Amino acid sequence: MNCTTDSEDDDCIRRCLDGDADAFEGLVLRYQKPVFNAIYRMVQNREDAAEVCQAVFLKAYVNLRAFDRGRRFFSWIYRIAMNDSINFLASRRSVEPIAANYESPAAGPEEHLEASELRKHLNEAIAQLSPDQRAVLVLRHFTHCSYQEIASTLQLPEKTVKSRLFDARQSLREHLSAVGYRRGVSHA
Amino acid sequence: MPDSRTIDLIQHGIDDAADPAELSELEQRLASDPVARQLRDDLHFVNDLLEETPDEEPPSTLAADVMAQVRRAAATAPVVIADRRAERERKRTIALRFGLGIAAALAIGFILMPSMREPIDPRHAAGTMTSPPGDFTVTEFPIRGASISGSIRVSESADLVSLGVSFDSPAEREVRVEFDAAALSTQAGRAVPIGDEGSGVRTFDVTGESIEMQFERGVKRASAIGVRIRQGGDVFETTIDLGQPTNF
Repeated sequence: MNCTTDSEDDDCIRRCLDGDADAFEGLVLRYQKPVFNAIYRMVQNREDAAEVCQAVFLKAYVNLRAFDRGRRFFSWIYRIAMNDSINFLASRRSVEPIAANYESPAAGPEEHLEASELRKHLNEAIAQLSPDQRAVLVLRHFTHCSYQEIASTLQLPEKTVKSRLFDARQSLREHLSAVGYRRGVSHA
Repeated sequence: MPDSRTIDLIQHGIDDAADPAELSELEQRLASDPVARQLRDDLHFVNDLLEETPDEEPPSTLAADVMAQVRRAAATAPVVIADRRAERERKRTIALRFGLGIAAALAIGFILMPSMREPIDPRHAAGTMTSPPGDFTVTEFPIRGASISGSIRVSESADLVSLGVSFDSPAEREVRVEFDAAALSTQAGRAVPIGDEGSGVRTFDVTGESIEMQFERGVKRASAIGVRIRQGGDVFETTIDLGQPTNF
């Protein structure tokens, strides 16, 4: 039942459209981790990310007949994820960065205190980005999309993608520099 | 700040998107520009931090929770459209039969009841109702603007109300949904009021073809749904009467 390739994505979609709702599970299992990760980096809260992620997959299922099967499914579902994340952020007054004392289950026990502090500052910097900049940064660094894939997902010119990506990186760079982090320089 | 070409090359290098000619040009530019070198080093530092950030694992129940909702949605919307043309034809037939039935009833009412001769508010939509098997109803309302076309679908069951707005083609548009005067937003199915006063509207920027909102019953009561769609200079508005107050 699991889908692992684009052709198998298409097979899952075809079976769903033929009435086999259970076939959608293959798409969920394949994309739940990258989609959740992307949404988490956008909304900066694990519980909120889970709720938005569920809504994204449900929206994808309900609107599957509107999906252009000439395109790649991941590009479409990432677009839904980014739009829903941005809408979610717009409905919130402010976004708190991922908690300083939050220990990701993915982080190893050997992570040093200094690295933890650095990650805290990085999360703070990401939280301060505009939703548009954050979306580009998230798609580049947390879903490893190319400029072209990001442009297709967000329906932006590639030039705009590069520009926003640079601005986002600059913003992170300035934030980290302000708290004492630069390449080759330890935290002061 | 280095010039835009240098910045472009630095980013291409960081993102492994530079070809050999670009890499060579970048090295030449960096050799004579210490500010650009510092920028490259700093952006590499940021890039490395981001790349080293571990992926966040989704909750272990996420897939199961999604599929539970998918199966529920499948049960309340049994028509799976494999052929849009056939589905449009089916809807036209239902709408025609429904319309003829309504026309007959109105004709009789018009003759027998003087109050029905008052003009119908054109803003209030006439829907096409179907009653698929199960404990729910599905009503579809056409969207027909100067350049906007599609449909609004309201699906109601005992514990869930679903509002779907779909369009016949993709375009940049804004969809605004209001329940009476106290509009709701949805966060994965939970209906929550917007604003400190508990009122407001929910606006979606829809660049794709459709949006879907679902509400669990019991949070708010409303007797009508207002939908306004803006696409370019075209605006389509409609009010969907729910007949009697409905718990959302």
